[in-house]
Amino acid sequence: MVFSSNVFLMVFLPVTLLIYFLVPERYLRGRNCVLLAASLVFYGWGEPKYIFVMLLSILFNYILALMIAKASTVKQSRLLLVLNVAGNLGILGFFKYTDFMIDTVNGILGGALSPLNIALPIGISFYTFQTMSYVIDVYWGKVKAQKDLIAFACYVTLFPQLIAGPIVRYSDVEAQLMARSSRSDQIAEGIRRFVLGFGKKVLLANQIYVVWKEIAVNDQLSVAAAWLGAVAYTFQIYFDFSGYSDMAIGLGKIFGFDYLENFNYPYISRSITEFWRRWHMSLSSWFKEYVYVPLGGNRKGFKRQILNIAIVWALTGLWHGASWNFVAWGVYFGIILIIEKLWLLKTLDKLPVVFRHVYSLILIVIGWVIFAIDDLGQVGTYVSMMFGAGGMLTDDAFFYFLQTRGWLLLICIVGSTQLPAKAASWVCGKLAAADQQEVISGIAEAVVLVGIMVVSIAFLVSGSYNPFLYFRF
Amino acid sequence: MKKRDLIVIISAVAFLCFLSIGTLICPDVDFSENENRYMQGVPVLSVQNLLSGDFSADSEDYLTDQIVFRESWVSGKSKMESALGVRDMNGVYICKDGRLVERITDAEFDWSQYKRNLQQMSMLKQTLEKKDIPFDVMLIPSAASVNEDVLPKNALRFDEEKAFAQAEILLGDSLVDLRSAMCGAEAEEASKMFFRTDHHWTGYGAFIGYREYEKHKGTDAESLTYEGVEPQVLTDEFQGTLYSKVLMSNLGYDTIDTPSSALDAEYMVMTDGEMHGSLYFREYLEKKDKYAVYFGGNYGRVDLSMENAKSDDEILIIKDSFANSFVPYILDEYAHITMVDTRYFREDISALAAEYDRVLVLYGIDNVAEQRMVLASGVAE
Repeated sequence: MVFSSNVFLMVFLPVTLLIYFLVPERYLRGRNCVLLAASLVFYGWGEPKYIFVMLLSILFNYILALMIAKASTVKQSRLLLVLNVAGNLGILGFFKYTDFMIDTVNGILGGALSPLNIALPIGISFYTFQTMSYVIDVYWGKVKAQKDLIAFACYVTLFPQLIAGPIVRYSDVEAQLMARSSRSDQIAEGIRRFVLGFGKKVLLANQIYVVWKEIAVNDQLSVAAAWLGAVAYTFQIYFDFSGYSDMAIGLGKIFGFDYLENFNYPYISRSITEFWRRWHMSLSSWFKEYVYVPLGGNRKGFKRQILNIAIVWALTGLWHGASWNFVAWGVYFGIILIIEKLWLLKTLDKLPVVFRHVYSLILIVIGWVIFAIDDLGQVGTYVSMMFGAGGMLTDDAFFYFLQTRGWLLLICIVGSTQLPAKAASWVCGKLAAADQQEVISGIAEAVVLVGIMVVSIAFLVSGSYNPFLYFRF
Repeated sequence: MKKRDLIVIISAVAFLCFLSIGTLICPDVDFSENENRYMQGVPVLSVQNLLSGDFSADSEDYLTDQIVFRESWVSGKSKMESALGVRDMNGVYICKDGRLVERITDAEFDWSQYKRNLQQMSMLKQTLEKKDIPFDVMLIPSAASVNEDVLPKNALRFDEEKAFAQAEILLGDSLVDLRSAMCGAEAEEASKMFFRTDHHWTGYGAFIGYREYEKHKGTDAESLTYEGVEPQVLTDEFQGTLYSKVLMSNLGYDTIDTPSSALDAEYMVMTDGEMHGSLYFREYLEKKDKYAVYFGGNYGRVDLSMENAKSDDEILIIKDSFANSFVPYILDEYAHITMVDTRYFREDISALAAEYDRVLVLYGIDNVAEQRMVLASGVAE
């Protein structure tokens, strides 16, 4: 199920909320049961068979974590950890990378192995990383093993973050799994976040996608049109993914969970290093903590550090999808980050801010082209058209979309900066002086939020494009 | 508890309740006239449906189709988009004069399908030439090229020049070229050829097609005028397929008319084996799809037999729905008219064509790229 569907909004969410809040707060295990049951329905809605893969993964990690916690020797617990990591990566690898490896082997050796056509279980990349972080943390002694199977299953399956993140670490929600309360300010905050995310997804991402879709199918593009298309995709993926994270964080809050932020205005970055501190933060920090640091990070000399960065970024690319363009995308950013680390950051610091923004944005936009097109040859064609291979500076496509989607583009540009947040807090500051400011600001806010929902539903019903991009991962 | 938070929570709950309870209470719609399709009914819950994923897909369709105020959401969205400068919605251009025109971009136009179909026509032409049966192909220019001047600025559309050039190469003098008569006309004239709210040509557009076809045949058609055929209005409350796609209320209505001679003529019509006394199915004038007043829609094969035709000739028309409003103009010229629609007709067309005195292929040019035609025998690839 996806958040921007009618089944979710009109049936699943109201029913889940109703049952959840009918269970009194003191029966937390009961509430956890409701959430677990709801999450399984949510997960199995489209393809029920993969519930079993997830249940297997839950049991495997639940049991191994308990065994690691009880292990009498370091050797024993290390062995169990290796078994656990191998098991998790094995499941992920089988479902996600088998066909990719078969294709690659065929390509290199000219063999004719037939691919198994394994369908990727939704969200497997996300929940595998969550459970691995839990078991590793147990091994490191950072958290205690969870004895309550319901609470643990609840952590893994919690529907707000189940299929597209953020990757929630067990340590961040451990306390809330065992004790949490419902506060009206937290629920209201959750509603705000959910509605904003819903609007970002339906009104911005889905709509700007049209521009990319229409431009990308052409094999002759002017420089301006190629850039416009790439910029459209750049906005689409940001509003799609960060909108989803907003909805996840918002829903989490409604049920009493505080997830960490996943995005922090990535497109205002002044370097690629900064960009990756602001984009999909839960993934970057996961790789940092569970791959980069254990590999030695920057503690084992400069050469080793460069190697570690390279490993992390090849894996980051591969995590995004079983295809060479994702590997290329990871390597692309790995190389840029290494160059920045070596000397470029120091040089950039001396340059005017405008230049640093332009530098970062150009590299980010090109990065998304590599990400968007799953055939490396076509990536090359598209990027070369961005630099004039089409032989035209402008064409009809560019002017047409600029005229008809100019507003949307402008909203996307402003929407990816801090301006809207600043404007909102400015308005709130003005209102604070008025009598009855609570009521006035409440009504103003309700009008805006319901307005966003009404417009979004009008677009949803009108049946434009809907699936979440991050499903594939 | 802060009042501000409370207001936010209450309004969110109220909105959700409005959506779900409103949809629950509203009676289900079986058939949508505007969308011209049956709406999803209550999904059937069964183990099989659950496991196959059909239940979840049907549930989503059910809620989307039956959502409270469904058409208001759609028309509201169109209005908002239009206000923000969007000029294409659901595959339709909103033109400067308010008319709607189908939007077919170069990427959407299936060039290989188009070429393959032209080759089929060319092979049929060769077969019929050997038998001395006159063969013509009339490709109707798209509404976008006829109304080029009012299209949105820089509007994207397929390269129609190229499409006609390919047709000229493959069909030679068999091509009845309507471009000089239909494209590049004065705004006033051009605006009469296609409906404002539908993808078909109007009675006037079909008249132009008729006049050009007569000229091509070598008939003296200079004296033919639209007034001369005394067009009779069938309805002036037509809102066509393109209207249904955007549901904007400010578009007005179109008029469907037809030559008076056809209204008075005596003939028998057979649609896929069923006999009728008239080609006009007036019951459709009360429905949404009023263009179906011609023949009641499309069939695999339609036969018309005239009592007192001007000649004994029999003509075969291989066609799409554009021919339905064209046939009334030629009704009294042939003793027998057969129309076959390649979408539904599964028999050997080239063998059939050999039995006629004339053969005409009549399509909207963009429709030639839409479906695969098999016109020449024994070459079903």
